[in-house]
Amino acid sequence: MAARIPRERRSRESAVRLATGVCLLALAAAGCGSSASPSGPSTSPAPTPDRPATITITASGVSPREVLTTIGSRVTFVNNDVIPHDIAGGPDPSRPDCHEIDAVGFLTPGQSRQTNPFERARTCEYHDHSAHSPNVAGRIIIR
Amino acid sequence: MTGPRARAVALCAVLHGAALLIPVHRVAAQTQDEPGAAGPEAAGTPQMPPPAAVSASAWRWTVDATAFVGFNYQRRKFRDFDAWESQNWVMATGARPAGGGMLVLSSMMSLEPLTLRDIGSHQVFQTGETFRRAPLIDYQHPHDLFMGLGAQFRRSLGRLAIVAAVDLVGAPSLGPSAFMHRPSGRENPQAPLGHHHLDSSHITPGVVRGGIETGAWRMEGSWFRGREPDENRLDLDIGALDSAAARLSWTRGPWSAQISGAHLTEPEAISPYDAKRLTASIAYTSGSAARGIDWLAAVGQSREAHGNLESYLWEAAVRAGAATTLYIRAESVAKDILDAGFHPRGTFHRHRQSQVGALTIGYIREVANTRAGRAGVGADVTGYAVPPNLRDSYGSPLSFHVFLRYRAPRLSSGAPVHIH
Repeated sequence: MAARIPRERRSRESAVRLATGVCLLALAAAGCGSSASPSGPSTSPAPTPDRPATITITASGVSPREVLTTIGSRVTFVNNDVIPHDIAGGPDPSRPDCHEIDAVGFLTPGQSRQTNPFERARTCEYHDHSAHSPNVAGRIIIR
Repeated sequence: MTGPRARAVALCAVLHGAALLIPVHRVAAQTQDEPGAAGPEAAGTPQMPPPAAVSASAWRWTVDATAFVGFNYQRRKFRDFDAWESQNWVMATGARPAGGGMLVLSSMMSLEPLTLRDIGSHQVFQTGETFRRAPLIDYQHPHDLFMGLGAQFRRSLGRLAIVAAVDLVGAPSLGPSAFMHRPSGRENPQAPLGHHHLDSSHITPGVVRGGIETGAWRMEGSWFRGREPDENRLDLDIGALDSAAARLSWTRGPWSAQISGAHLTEPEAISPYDAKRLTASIAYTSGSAARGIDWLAAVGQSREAHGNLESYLWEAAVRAGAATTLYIRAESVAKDILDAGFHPRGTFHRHRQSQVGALTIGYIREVANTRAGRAGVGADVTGYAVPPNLRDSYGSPLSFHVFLRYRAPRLSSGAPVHIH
């Protein structure tokens, strides 16, 4: 029994040393954090009056919530969030509408896609079929 | 304290906690996490030693723990993702004779709510559960703090044995052993893409189980809460036992197999529909720590209101020596990524399916093997077969992991009690 105590102490010390080493690695890693980085043509230019309207999706929602466009024009959606979004026409999944918007569909992070050309003057609402978040919803006014 | 620092400190707590346990337990000789120690596929139920192996006077406690700490890099078409993260869990089991049989108390905890981001671990094409009431896509959710908490009683009656169990958190009689428990999959820090078609019910809040064993066969049934864990990873999701499952399993030598099925009441928070799940699997566990192969082949089908989703998996851990393990996982999984999301009751349409293929090849080299545990350095790469309807959004992604894996010795105050 007398010889057993030092062995156990050595075991405890060895265990703590190993755990401490792993912790140091973890703490060093924690400083590096987590990130998402663009690796392709993911950004779109800032909207200007002579360019098609662009709606940007981020973690806080869409911006702008309301855009103005003309008959025959398209609107570009850019997903700058870290999760996919699925843009569809209509105020919610149970009321589909404005099928030109359905062309946007599923967007992975960094991806962008245009609507089909809008065919007539009206106000179109859209929603996120994946998230159904009120933040990822808005309207497009066609004149 | 929040964010990465809190996650790192949480990991330290796990590791130091496990390390400091060592002196108070007798370290079982030659139980350094031998692959066979987990035994053949036991499909999520504690395996108990025969009564004769345990003293009639005392509890026998067993502790086991695993932690991966590493870098996760997902190369994707439009945007890459990377993260430092840790998958980890610790298990404790106590057993003692009681009532002419064996009583086992078991618990399992994970600090993943702190060591992974709130949304989870980046994993291309992974789905299941929610984050901020939206379906998780391309992320593996963190596991709950309480992964297991329950009691099981087993008694032999001649050639038969009966098993009864109650779990505050546990696994119903459904599917193969969860990926982190089975010898073929536990060297891989990443969950299978078919997790939610096969073994996702391993953390079920509220389970009552009963079964009968004879020879190599076991038949068991269970009642449990069908809803998957909610977004609060730190609580217990108590609710009505509204779902049922049944499983027939067979074990002989290194071979084991099971077929199981369940009716799940509204398993997904964003889908107000019930589902059925069917699984079948066969596994081979070599039982050799130094050289051998453990493998599992499994198929699962989720019959959901919006269509049937099927998953096929084959995985293996190949040990070329005591210090070297190669792990492989090949999958073909149907995903409804393009139509995931909230569907109010009555808004019904068939989901578009995408049959995703994935092949992971990984390697672990043991770099330290002491009485404090084993440390290994590992890495893996995953390539994907992307179906045509996802190519525009995903291109040809690749996933990489580089990690340090710590595994505590199987600590026991007596005869080892195996958990699956």
